[in-house]
Amino acid sequence: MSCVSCLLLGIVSLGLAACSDAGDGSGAKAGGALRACLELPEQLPRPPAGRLPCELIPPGLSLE
Amino acid sequence: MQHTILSVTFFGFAALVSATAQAHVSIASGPAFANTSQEVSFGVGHGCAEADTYRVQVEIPAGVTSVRPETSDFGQVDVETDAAGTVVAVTWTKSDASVLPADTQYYKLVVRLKPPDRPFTTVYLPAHQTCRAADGSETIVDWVGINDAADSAIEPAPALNLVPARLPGWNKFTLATPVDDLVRFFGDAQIVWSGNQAFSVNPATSELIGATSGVSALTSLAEGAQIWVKY
Repeated sequence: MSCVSCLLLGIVSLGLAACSDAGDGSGAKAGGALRACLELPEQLPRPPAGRLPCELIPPGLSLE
Repeated sequence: MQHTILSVTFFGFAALVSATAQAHVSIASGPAFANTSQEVSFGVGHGCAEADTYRVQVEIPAGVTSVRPETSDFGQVDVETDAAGTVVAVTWTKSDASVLPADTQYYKLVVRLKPPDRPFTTVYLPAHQTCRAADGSETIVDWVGINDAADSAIEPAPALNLVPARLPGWNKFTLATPVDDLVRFFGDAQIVWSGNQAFSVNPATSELIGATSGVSALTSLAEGAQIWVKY
């Protein structure tokens, strides 16, 4: 495998990792740059099902 | 013959009472921020007994300050002050020529005012509505009832519900007064929390409150309660 091929494979791997991280809808990526939710459509929050979503839980409250 | 006259009189009176009951002078701008100057609108939904509204007077209770009525296309606006110069009443009066031959209009009357610093309470502003029929006869309806029963003969005064100033997102408040009617003061909140109890007027969110383990429905708030409210 040539050096150019290795470089391209590395770039593709990094791109896939960026799309699969941070599924909390915050647009944040752990250890990476913040990006707009519109640029991460797979990570947008889904309608809540069955229990209150985290954005409606007040600061400091932990529910078991 | 006498029976006929009595019947006509009775049904005429009933029609008048019915038409009067449909009339309404109320707050049209929703809850107001306590201790903050802002515009407050009064809506006049109907005239009286099919006659157009000719004059509306609103009493300004103690504690409501910085009162300045907005210029209105309804008619002339006058303020009444006490010896100290404090505005105690605002009156809107149509010109004789602009009184309509029938009750067809909705009127909005606007005042800039500053309510007292008493969030989660209600300020009542009694109003007096004068209507003028095509024959020149006038009818006055007093909207002065405070906390009367729903079937009371006294018409309810416009009620201005006061809420604390807030910002979008989470807000933390400590209540200086108990709150029994959560809908009245939190109708525009996404959710209200007190401890592990939560309330929302949104039926979908309310359903989730009931479905979430460890959370119970919030139905009232005691004096001194600390609450989180998300707007």
